[in-house]
Amino acid sequence: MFGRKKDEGGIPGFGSLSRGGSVTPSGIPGAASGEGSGIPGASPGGSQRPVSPPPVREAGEPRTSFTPPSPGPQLGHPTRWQIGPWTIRLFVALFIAAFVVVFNAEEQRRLDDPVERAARGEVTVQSSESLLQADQFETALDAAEGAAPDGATVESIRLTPTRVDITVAQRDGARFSIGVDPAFRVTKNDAGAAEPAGLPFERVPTAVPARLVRTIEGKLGLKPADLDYLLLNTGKSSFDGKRTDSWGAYYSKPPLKNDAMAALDGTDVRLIGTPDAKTRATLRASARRTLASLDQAEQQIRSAPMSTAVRKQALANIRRARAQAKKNLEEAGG
Amino acid sequence: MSRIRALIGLAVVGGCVLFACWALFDLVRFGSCASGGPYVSARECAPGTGWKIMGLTGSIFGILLGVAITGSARAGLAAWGIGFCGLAATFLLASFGPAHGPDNQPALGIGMGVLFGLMGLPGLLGAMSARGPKVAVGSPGG
Repeated sequence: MFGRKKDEGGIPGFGSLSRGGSVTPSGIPGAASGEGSGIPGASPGGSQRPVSPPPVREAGEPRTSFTPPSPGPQLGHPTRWQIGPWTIRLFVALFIAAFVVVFNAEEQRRLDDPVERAARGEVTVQSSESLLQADQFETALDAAEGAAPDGATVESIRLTPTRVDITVAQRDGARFSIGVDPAFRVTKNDAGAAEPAGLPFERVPTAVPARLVRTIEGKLGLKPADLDYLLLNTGKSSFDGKRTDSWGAYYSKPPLKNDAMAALDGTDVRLIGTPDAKTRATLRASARRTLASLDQAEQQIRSAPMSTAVRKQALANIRRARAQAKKNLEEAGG
Repeated sequence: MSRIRALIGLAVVGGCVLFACWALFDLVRFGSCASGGPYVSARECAPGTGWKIMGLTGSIFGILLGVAITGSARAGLAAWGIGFCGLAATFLLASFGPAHGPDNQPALGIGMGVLFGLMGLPGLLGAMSARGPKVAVGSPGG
């Protein structure tokens, strides 16, 4: 009909036009498997539907008649298996089951995970899991020491209830930042270079942080719940080479006078900006010497021959100087 | 062979969508963070955060690869639907799950959950319906 021989293959998927004019649906996709084909009566197992014999032509009937298959044929490979709706429904059900299993386990893990508990605000300064507590802080320091290079010393420690960040320096000056989370997992980053003048790990007093927070509350009235972080700074004075190791405690409230500091062993607690114990002792001694000198000067003025007006003026000056010295003595804790 | 290919493709799609949901859940739950460098970050990232971000991006390509392996438009539609519906569920779970944090943002969870749900649900229902998609992908008859 179209210039082809009788046994030559036709258009793929359309079968061949029979002598009687009917079409054999040889290439209908899904006819083999049934799923997704949309053809009612498609037989499983790959066998084709039986072909009816050509109809007997009645007298007066046109020579050829075209009976299209119902439903219409589709393009496709005859034996190709296709993803049908039930496959997708099964896939979706399996996915939902996997989703529920995975996320149920994940949520249960997160309920108990120290890092997650810390993120939810369940770890406070005074709770037993707080890294400020001596045993927790010691474990965190051990974890950090394990990650630090051999012989590295501690330059600074930033300590919160949920995290410890330690800067260490090697002997050759290479510096690293080591972080420890509540699960004692360690992260380590390069942090440039520094003159190594820190403390060895074993000399960091692990009992001080928790005690310091309590002392600050008692002495300065700053509440543990308002603590932002503690900071241990180590090093030597460039002036006289003496060690200057000290703790700083930084609070979020009140807006002013909310930063305190203390010596390495947690003593000498004071607001930042006020003199330390040694300086206060020096100031007290100085103020007492000044007061004694003023007393002596007053006696001399009273006994010395001078006019009344001059004596009166001198004694007034002595009074002013004494008031200032007393104020200094008071500020120095005398 | 085509059946095995289709099953492998669907498994790749399902695995990648599940991984994307898990990674996104972790990132949304943790929130903003920073790490590295000489300064102490106010909120240090959890270990593996970078890999989760990379994996989340990579899983999108994994889903596309899975769909290509199946060679089926219906599987593509299912991947679209399950992907967006999965992400919607992930956002809602991250915001309202039992282990959510105090800085949880319900507006984000509801907004993204509803938006992604609306995007994914028609595709999912279409893929599961008997009629299925009319456009084939990769090979005829999909």
